[in-house]
Amino acid sequence: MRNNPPSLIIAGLLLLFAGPDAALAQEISPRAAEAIYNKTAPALVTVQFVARVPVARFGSMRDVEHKTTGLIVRKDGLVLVAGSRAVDGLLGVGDLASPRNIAVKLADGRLLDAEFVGADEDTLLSFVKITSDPGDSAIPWVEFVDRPVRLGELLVSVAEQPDGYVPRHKLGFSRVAAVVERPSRFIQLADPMPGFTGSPVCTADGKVIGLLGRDPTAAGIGGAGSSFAALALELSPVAIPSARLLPFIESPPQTAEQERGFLGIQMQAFGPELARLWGLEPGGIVVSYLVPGSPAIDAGVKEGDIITHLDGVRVDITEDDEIVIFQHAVRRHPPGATVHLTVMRPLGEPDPATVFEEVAADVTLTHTPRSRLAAATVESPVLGCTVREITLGDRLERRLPADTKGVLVALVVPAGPASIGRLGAGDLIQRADGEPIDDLAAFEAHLERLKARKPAETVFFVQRGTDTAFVQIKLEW
Amino acid sequence: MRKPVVYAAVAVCLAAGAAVPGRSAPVAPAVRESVLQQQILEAQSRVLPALVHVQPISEVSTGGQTRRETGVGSGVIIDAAGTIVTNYHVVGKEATRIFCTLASKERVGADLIGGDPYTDIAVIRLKADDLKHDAPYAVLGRSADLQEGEFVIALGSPMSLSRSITHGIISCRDRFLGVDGRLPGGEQTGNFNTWIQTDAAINFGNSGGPLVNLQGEVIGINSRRGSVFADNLGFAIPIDVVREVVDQILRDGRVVRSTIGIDLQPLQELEDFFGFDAPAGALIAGIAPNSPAERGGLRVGDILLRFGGTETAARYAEQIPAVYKTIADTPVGETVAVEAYRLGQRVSLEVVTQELGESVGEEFGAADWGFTVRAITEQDARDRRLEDRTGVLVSSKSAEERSQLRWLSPGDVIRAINGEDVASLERFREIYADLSGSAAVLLKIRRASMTRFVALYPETGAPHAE
Repeated sequence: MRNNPPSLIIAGLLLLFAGPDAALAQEISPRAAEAIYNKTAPALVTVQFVARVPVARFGSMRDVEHKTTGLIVRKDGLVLVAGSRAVDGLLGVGDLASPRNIAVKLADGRLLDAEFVGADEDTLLSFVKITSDPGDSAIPWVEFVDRPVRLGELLVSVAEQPDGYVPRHKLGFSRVAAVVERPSRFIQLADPMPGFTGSPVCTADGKVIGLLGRDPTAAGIGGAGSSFAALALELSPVAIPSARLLPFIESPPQTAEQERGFLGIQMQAFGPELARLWGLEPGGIVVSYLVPGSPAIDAGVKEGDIITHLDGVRVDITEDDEIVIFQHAVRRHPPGATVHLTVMRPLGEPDPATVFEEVAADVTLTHTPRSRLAAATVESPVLGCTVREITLGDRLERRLPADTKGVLVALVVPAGPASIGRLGAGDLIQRADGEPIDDLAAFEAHLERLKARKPAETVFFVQRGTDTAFVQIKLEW
Repeated sequence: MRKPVVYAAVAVCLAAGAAVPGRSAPVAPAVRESVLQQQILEAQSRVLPALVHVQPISEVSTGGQTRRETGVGSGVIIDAAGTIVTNYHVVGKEATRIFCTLASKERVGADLIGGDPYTDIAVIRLKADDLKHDAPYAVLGRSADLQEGEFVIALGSPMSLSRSITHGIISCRDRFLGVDGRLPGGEQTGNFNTWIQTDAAINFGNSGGPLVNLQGEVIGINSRRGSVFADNLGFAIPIDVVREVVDQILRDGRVVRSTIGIDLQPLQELEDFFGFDAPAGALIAGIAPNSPAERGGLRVGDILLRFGGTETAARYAEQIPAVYKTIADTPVGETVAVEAYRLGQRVSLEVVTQELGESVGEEFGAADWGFTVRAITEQDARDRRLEDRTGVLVSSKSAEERSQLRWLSPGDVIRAINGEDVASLERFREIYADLSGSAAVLLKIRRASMTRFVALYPETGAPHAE
């Protein structure tokens, strides 16, 4: 352009008046949209696996192939899977047992083996990791970036098309309707995008700032940890911001939970109402219960203590939904590591005038007990059921005494002998034919005895909810 | 089944007509009426005047607020003083005013005399001042010898259509509906009786009305119906059960029962397993912790043979309520000789009965705080695995979501308020009154194993993030 002072002045004035908002996209040019598509779509993959499914009315199990959408979120091939039924399948819970042959199919057609890494029970986010060599070209992935968005900002999402469509992906567009802070942090979108659940959400300049999910507070599901619980459903479009996903991506939940450090406490968020009562800053973890054997007990932590700092970092948890963030911060440490807690301890029985003293507690983390997702199982075709070991989660949920023994029925095959005998999933088997069944080994021994003697029936004594009952199972040999 | 009767009736009528000398026999209108028709008309005429349409007004506490609710049901007058039998779930324990409409269409007020949720029977009585004459009443029959197939009529107010009569037969004389039933208010029910099942139409509003035989005697009180997907399944409480319960309510205002804390399971399939082949015996499948049964030395797997002087048999589920009733009818605090079969041998033990408490405790609405609490009963402690009955249970909270009440959930047990222990509903009421007008309240609650804190600001509501 020729040196033309009036146009320069005009351009300058335009810049002056347009101000910083000029950078906020109101439109996305086709070129920008294409750039987002090209960068993000390749990271969307199909995760497939084989799971055993009970065949209704025939009392047997068969293998069925399942497919679901995943997103590669790390350079090393970590894949994030959202969607509850698929997650169930990968976890091998409910009526989809023993997932195997997990594979990831990339948009370019490459089929790579993968292994199941783990899932977070509270958020139902699960992870698989590509294990086979990707070959010459690198694995495409998206990097989640923690960047705030603004009201009215236009966001783009990329989702898979149904099978057989070429090209394999499509775009969706929605504006930020609200940036919600409370009761949990998420981005509410103005335009529904059906079919986009689990898809990455980008700003106009291509930064992946969230994952499309469902309003965590809809459908009246309250209580700790349920905010992510239905990422798969699409009642109203929200994007779960990167800030909440990055901890999982950095250290995904492992099925081998024992490798994670364990603090052993049940928690309540230190919310604004309590903080105001006591004149303290909101944000923290109230120790609601110390699990028997918790290393926090040795460190002198008490019920009612409020954890305000973890390793010197302020614990900014004000809603029960956010407790998972603290849990992940702890789990990043391996067993044996020491975490330094700063705790506000109430002096005396808590009342509105309680005074607190600041106490330091150094806790040496122990191994995380196995979660029910990782619980060992035993499948019995003879009985038509699968049982598993009792986990800490079961004991807490059912309020079982710490020394409770037995095995839990995880799955009952429809129309099988156990089903006819009215054994139910969730029953806690404590005795079989009069003999105590303390653990899976004892149950396996019982199965061996049955195979050897081939009796006409076997009788279990079970705990079912708060009742106990005898369950007679007639056997066919 | 009716046709032979009709033909016989016609034959009789015709024969009667032909026997009159000199008359050729035009068929008189009476001939068209069968015996059954006449019986129904007569039975109805004996009971319909005693049928009552019951409209209770209850004060129910939810979320701290007291609300008035109207109900609808039926009842039957059983004596000249205007004593009426109806269902417990019609009047409940909160009916503060009860309006009755008699078959004569007079409206008369009634007072609640007492009730028993376990058998779902309640007794009310027409107010003497409102009732200006002797009340017409129905005669109670017996239910012990009922047979499947007997004709019955049901009277009541289905869907509020009062003074309605339906008819059918007895479909089953001892239907077992499980011992873990709950009434709409959550009270345990169905432990001590079986039901008469009938295909006479029973709809919402029939509750509390009489089931009547062709002699015009009340043989049951209609209480339940099959679910919405079922037709012609109605259930009535047998009159022998009703009579016993009504007598006790008239005498003591309620029914006192004993318990020893055992759960029974039908022995039917398990006799081989236990090596027990006599037709007697009731299998103990569960024993409540700290119960008389536990203290007396009974164990799960024992087969109860005798309780006091009575043989106990529960090979089939239908027999289980009778065994519970044997135990329940024993005086409270009595030492009872118990015989059981254990691992091939007979054992003799002694058990001291204790009173069976109510299953749902008294409620109190903390209006300023936005929630209702109730006393913790043995049943609550058992259902929720509580160590004891200390504290009060949050039964409902005000429906404002995302307020300070989001930290409180129904089912939470309040153990302390502002540092003061709450042992009982009584103590909760005292503390609530003391703290009236307080700006800030701290609740210490138990949820499962967890101790949690809830801060409430009754006047100002919750602070939100500044």
